[in-house]
Formats: sequence, structure tokens, C-alpha cells
Amino acid sequence: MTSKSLFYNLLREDGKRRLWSMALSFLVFFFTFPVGIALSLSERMRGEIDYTYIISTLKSWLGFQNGWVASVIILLSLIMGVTSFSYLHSRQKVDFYHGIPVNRKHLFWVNYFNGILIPAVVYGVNLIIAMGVIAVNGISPFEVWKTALSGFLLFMIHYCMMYSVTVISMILTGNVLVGILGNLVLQFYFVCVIGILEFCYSRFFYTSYRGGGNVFNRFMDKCSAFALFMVNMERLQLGTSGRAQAVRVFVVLAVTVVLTLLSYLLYKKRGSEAAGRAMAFKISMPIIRIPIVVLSSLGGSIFFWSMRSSVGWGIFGLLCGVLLSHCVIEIIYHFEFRKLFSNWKQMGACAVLAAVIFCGFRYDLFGYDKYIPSESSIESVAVSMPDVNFWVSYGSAQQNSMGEYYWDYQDSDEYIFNHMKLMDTAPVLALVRDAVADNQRMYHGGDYSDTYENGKVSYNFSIRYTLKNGKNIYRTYHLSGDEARPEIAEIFENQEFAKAVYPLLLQTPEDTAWVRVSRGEQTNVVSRDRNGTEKAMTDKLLLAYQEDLKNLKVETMQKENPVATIQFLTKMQAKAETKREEIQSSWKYSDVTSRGYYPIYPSFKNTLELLKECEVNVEEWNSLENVKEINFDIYQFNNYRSTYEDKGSQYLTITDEEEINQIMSIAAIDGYSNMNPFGGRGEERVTFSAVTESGGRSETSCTIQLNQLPESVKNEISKIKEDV
Amino acid sequence: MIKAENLTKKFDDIVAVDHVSAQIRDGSVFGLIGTNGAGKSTFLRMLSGILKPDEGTVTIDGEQIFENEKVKDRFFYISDDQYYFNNSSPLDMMEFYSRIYPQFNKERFHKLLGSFGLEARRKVHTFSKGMKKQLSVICGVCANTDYLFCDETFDGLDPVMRQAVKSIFANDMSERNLTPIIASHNLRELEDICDHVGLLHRGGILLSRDLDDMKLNIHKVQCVLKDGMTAEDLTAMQRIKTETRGKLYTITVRGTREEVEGLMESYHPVFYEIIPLSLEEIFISETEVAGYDIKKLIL
Repeated sequence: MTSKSLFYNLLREDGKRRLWSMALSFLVFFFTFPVGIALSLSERMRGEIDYTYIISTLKSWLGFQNGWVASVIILLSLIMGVTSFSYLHSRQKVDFYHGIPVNRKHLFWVNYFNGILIPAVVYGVNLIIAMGVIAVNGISPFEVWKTALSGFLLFMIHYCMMYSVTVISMILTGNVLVGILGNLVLQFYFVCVIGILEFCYSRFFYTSYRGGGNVFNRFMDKCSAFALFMVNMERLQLGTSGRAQAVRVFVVLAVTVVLTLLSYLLYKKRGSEAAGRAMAFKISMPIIRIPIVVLSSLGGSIFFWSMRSSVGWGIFGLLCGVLLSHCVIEIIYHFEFRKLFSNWKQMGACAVLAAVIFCGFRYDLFGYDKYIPSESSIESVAVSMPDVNFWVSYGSAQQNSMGEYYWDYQDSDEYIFNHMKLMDTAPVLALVRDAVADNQRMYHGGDYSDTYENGKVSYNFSIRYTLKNGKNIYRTYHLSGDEARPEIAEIFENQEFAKAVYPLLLQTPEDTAWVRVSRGEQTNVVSRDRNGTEKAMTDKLLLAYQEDLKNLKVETMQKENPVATIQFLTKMQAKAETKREEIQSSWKYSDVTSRGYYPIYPSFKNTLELLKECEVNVEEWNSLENVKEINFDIYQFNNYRSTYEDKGSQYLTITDEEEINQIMSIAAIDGYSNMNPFGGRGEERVTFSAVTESGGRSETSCTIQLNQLPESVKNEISKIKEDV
Repeated sequence: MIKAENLTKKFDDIVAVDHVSAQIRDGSVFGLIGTNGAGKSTFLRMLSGILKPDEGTVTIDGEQIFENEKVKDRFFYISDDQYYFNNSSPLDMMEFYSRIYPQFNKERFHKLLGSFGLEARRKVHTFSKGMKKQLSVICGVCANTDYLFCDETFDGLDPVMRQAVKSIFANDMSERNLTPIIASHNLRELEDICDHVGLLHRGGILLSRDLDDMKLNIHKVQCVLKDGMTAEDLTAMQRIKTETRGKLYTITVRGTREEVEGLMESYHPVFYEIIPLSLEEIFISETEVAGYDIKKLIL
């Protein structure tokens, strides 16, 4: 009896009954698009904002990056999913719908499609109205319609995916509230699993890999429809590669199809008698309960353990987690408080399983921290030392389809591991063995942080072992001791290491537009390829600096500190800088144009010579004559436990020429000292302001090791420390 | 003809319907009697294709009902708590049903609404329980299906409306051979309408008989016997139950009216008359024979 016309009749009848949800969706989208856009365009009507900026704002509001629309989509997917299939939870409604001569298959598809059609139509209609609003404001809708359409399509396919999960949760349950709880479980269970595993991994394993973001985060988009939506919101931004976008869209479509078919199959299997029960399928009860109880127990034990770091509290947390979760779920399943201890044997098994997992992490039962691949099994290693490269910018300047410049950030480890293949594994493994031995000496389960130990520096380094069988193993090690031990110096001076750590060494003259030098608060463009006239100098500078940087030795860095920094702007950076100058904005694109500064050491003769040719007064950088005064801000000597009382001047001022010369011969400019990983990080440092008076008074913030100060100054500082 | 064979339905550990078999002839009224929880609604829901039997089959003219739109087109199920769309009026329900049941008679719907005094545009949720029941019957009758499944439909109707509904059923039976299947826990309600009665108890069918057969084969005799005779002396009669009040005996016996009259004449009583049995009395007698106390089973 069911025909096409009946199908559409049913669609129409179902639509009539969901007028309130249509009205709600319409209102939300109406205020989001036509009203929201009219409000933002009213500023333009006052002539305050330029056309390009307005277009860019409109695109970001209409496109897939609109977080507000994402929230609306998430909420609607829940509301529509619940309203589409809540009839399954009422015996009265089930009898009504399943008693009429309409096949359940048709009933399913009618309800399913209506739950998609309503928001799609409402969204689409409001987009059309919004286009009208845009046109009325004197902007051609053709400028933004592509973005609006792609935003609409992307949001709708993600809506379908999220909606399908809600539908599944409604079909799996027999009560609306339990259905909503079920939806939360389906959307967030694996997200919580990842969170807890990440916590255990990073908290309990000394050698857990801590670079490149969280290890388990890469599984985040596989956790749930919600997580995939959130990740896609980030990854499907305009400007990302078309292929990557297509793959992500395809995955969403495939997941949606699978979820839809699954919901249809479950619907067909679902008995009408399930209405009013907590769970529609008896078999799903333990399948859902057991993982939740195990995770809750593990979560409970970790929560209490992390508060007090005691096994007793861990056990207490485990018991709390297992009892609370199991009992609450059983009560929900049976709608009966007295059934809270049903299936108590399964509860016990869950507690044991959670305890095993906890102990597996806590006591490193599987020897994760001790593991070092055998030398013969290693093909190559890649080492990332945050202390060496923390100041390096990884990634590149990009321009999105809206014409905006942005810095496409790349994780330092990701860049380094992709560019480094050290075949000489001996120095690396020597460091690793020492680090593992150090770990074994310490109580397992403690917490590491960069701390100074008896004047020695402690540092982290991450390693990717590429084994001969093709497997990659990641670890982060912690080691304290001499910062310039021979193995580290050997690694640092390896050309392969330097090439992978400093992206500048791979930068080509073809991609280099300008050269800028910065010292203190002064920044000068020394070579600017305006019309090709200075290109030759730009190229020479780049090659000269690359040569100097490659030849930089640990020994040099132990003796010298950077005196200035140099930046080789890529063509894209130069475009952003030009644009910034055009719109006379001090902040716009500063994130793009301020990246890529490298240190200039006094021994970089090639670079310094060329800078001289560019009329940069490099001689002045090493000149001490102009420093007339040194001021130590005594606040830096305050003990945090002390309350500072005003005892006169805030500064300890040094005017003695000899002392000034002694200090300035060793001191480093404050902003550059951290660029030198071998500049005595382990020692206590003090900062001061060097006052020069050539061509007017100016101050430069410098830093120096406390023990390198003249005796008289050290004594003064000691007195200040005692006073405060 | 509706045929249920060996129908069984379990809800977890509870057997709601236990191997029930029944045949429902077209053009007759089938009464399904049983206490609360006897399995009447479950049986009807399986008949309506709402529930899938765990065991057994239910067919209409040999065709399975479950998920068979063609067969489901032939009946209308009135639940004990009929669902109406939120904020809907009788007109809205008429519109919906007219799209689902191609033979739906809108004209009659309006006519019956008027007869029952129901306002077509009033919201159903403002109706009383009885009015909702009336509306469900009107929808069911106007759907013009061959079968009408009524679950406790008369419960909540006042005697006048009950009679009105019964007369509508009778009219449709004679005009278009409608077959109502009525589930109720109240025997008296079905007495004057049912042709066949099935008694469900604890998920099983206790008996299933034509009412006429039962009425023709069981009689109640009130008599005063000759001096010196007692009911025990009526040995030729198949007595089911005897009550004595002084010299007046009230005896329930098996047999046709003619047989009973012939036998009574042969005993030359002082006085006797054959009085009709109510459905309840017939059931009491039948089920007592089967070893059940009917008063405990039904009201």
C-alpha cells in the first residue's frame, strides 16, 4: 500500500507535527544569518570598515569556520534525532505507528529524512535571505556565495553524521532521557578513553613521548562523530589543500552512510515492546555497561592517585568509580533502585580489569620505560632538543582563499623528525642509556620537570627511532648533567642535525625576498628586493649566513652570545609585510612577519662583513664605549616569600667604567641569550639595563650569570637579597 | 478469516501469550475475555502486526500480518489508550487516517462526529476519556476496513454510547461484513454483541466457543419437583450446577432446549420453566467444569 505519494504524505504529516522544531530552527538561523549579517554590515554602512575586510568577515561568518553555527548544528542534531524517533519510547505511539498499514522501513525513512530536511530547508532559506541582505547593503552576493554554499554543505554533512548517532542512541534505548545519555556515551566515551590513556601515558611513563602534541590525540577524530566534527572544523579551514579536504569530506560521508545503515538495521531489529524500557536490546546492556564501568574505575583511581600519589587513594578511587558507575547504570537499566547490585560478578571483573590497567601504567609492568631498541635493529634516529630549537619557527607563511595571510604552524618535532635521519646512532644511544639508567634510579611514578640540580642543567630530548622493519618508535628522555657533554656536542655539530633543526638552512634564494636585522629595539631592513636591485645582496647574505650557522660549534657558543638577530623573509612573508604597511596596521599579520629570526654570533664573519656592506654599523654591536650606566632592578632579587618594603631606589646602578666594561664583555642581550643553548643555562642569571648615550639616551636589556659579575657588584646584590 | 496458530510472546521472563490458537470468522464478533494481564492486549497487538510473535503465526486469509502492508490495510487497531497527535483535532486525525486508509469515509466521519456530539475542531487533548474512546471508534469505523481490533474500547463509554457503538458495529456487520474483534475484561459488556468468545487466562486460551453453541447447549431450569423427589433424582439430565431454595431448584444443565424440556416433562414436576443464562453464567458453568473459579478470572 505504501506508495511514493504515501511516502510524501507521511513526510508532510510528520512535518506538520514538528512545526515547533521548524520554528525553533528557523528562529536560530534567522538571527544567525540575515540578522547577524545585517548587524555586521551596518558598521560598513557607516564607512568604518573597508570592503575587503567586510568580505572576509562575511566569508568567515557564512563559511565552515563559524563556531556559532557549529554549536547550532550540534544542538539541532540532538533535538531532531530525539524528536524524530522519540515515538519509539512510548507504547502508545508505537502501537499507533506500527498498527497502521505503513511498513516500518518507510516509517524509518520518513522520520529519518524529515530530521535532515527540516534544518536543511531552514538553513538554506535563511542563507538565501542573507544573500538578499548582503545585496541590499551594496555587496554582490556572488562574492560570498561559494563560501556560503560550501559552508552549508559541510555543515549539513556533519549534521547528518551527528544526527545519525542520535538516531542510533534513540533506537538502542526505550526512554528519551536514557537515549540522550546514550548519545553522550556514544559521542564522548572514546574521547574520555583517550583523555585517560593520555594522562596515564604521560604521568606514569618517564619516557613517554611528550613532543608533537598528545600521542593519543591523533586518534581523536576516530573517537566519535562529535570529535570528527570538531577536528574537521579545524582541518577543513579555507586555504587547506583541496585533496586533504576531499578526503575528510569523503570520510564524513562514508561514516554517515555506515551510521545510517546501522540505524536502519537496528530499527528493523527493534521490537515494539522495547518502548518504555531503558535499553531496547538486552544484549547491548553489558556491552555498554562494562566499558563504562572499567573506564570510570580507572578514572576514579587515577583521579585520587593524582591528588595524593598514594596507592591507597588509588584503590579508594577505583572502588568509588566501579561502585558508582555500575550501580547508577544498573538503576537506570532497571528503573529500580534495589537492582543496583545486579550483575555484581561483572562489576568485580570490571574492577579487576581496571586495576590491571592501572598497575600496568603505574608499575610499568610491560617495561615501556626500560625499552631501548638494539643498535643493530635501528636504521636511523632523529633527535629533537627543545632547548636547542624552542626559538625556531616551524611552518610557513600562507595565504588563504580569502586573501588573508596566516602562519601555517608545524610542530617542531614533526618538522625535525621529517627532516632528520642520523645514521650515527652511537652518541644518541649513549645519552639514552644514561637517561634510562637515571630513570631506574628514581622512584617510578614521580613527576619530572626541568629543574636545576646542584648547578647542573636538566634537559629533555625526544627521539624517533626508525627501525629496520619500518616501525617508528617515539620516546622522550630526561637527563641531567653537563649541557655540553661530548655526545651532545657531537650530535649538535652533525650537519644532518643542523639542517633538520634550522629550516633556514633549507631556504633557497629564490624564496627569499628581504633581509632584516634586529638588535634590541631597533630593526632595519638591510636588503629589500623592491625592483630586483638588492636581490643579489639578499642572496649573498642568505648563503653567507647559512654557511656561518652550519659551522657554528658548541665551543663557540660556550664563549659567545648572539649580538643581534637576522631574518630572511620569504616571499609570502614579504607580501604580508607589504600588505601590513599598506593598511598601516601594527598588529595585522605580525604573527606572520615576525617569525624566522636567527642569532648572529660575533664569530659570524661572513655575515657581519656583508652587513657592513649594507651599511649596518656592526662595529657598534661590540663597542662598550657608549654604555654609561648599568641598572639592576632590585625587584628581581625579591624572595617570593618576602614582602618587599620600599627602601629607596628600585635600581642598583653601576657607573664605574671598569666594572661596566667587565660586565658588558660577558653579558648577552636578554632577548638573545636563550637562543644559545650552551650559554650557561644552569647558572643563576641576573638581568640589567645598559644605558647608552650616543645620539640620545637608550636602554638595552641584558643578562649575565651572577657568578660572572665583579665581586663588588656580587656583594651589593647579596646585601640586597638579605635585606628584602 | 483470521487464524492464529500456536502464538507465543514473551517479555523477558514473562510469558504474555502462551501457545494460543484461535480462528476468527469473517462477519462475526469475536470477544476476547480475560483479566488484566491475561494477554488480551498482547494477543491483539500481535494480530495487528505491532508485535512480532516469538513463536507461531497469525494470518489473515492465509497471509502473514507482520510487516505486510497489504494485509494491514484490512484492519484498524484501536488501542486501549489510543494516541492522538499533539495539539491535534478530530479533523487533523481524519486527514491523517484518510491518507493512510484509502477507503476512509470522510463524510461518515463528519456525520458520526455530529451524532456523538464531538466538535470537529476542538483539540483532542481537551476531550474526556470517553470522548477519546468515541473518537477512536469513529476513526476505526470510518477507515472502512474489514476488521476492527478494539482493545478495551467499551471501557470508559457510558451505557448510551456503548449501545450506540454496538449498533454502529451491528450496522457495519450487516452492510459490509465488518468483523470486530473486541478485547475486554468485562463479560457483561460483550454479552449482547459477541458471536464467539475466547477466554484468555495467564497467556493461554481457556476456551473458545461460539456463543450460540454455548447458549443452545446449556440451560437453566427453575422447578418445583413432586413430593419425595430431589434434584438428585433427575438422573437423566446432565446437571452442571444445582441450587436449592426451599422446594425451588435452580439447575444448570447441558442439552438443547427440546431435550431439556422433554426430560423435565418426563419427571412430572409441579412447576418448571427454562430461563436464559447470561454470558457470565455460561462462563461460570463452563469454567467451573474445567476446574477454574471464573469469578477469580473475570469480573
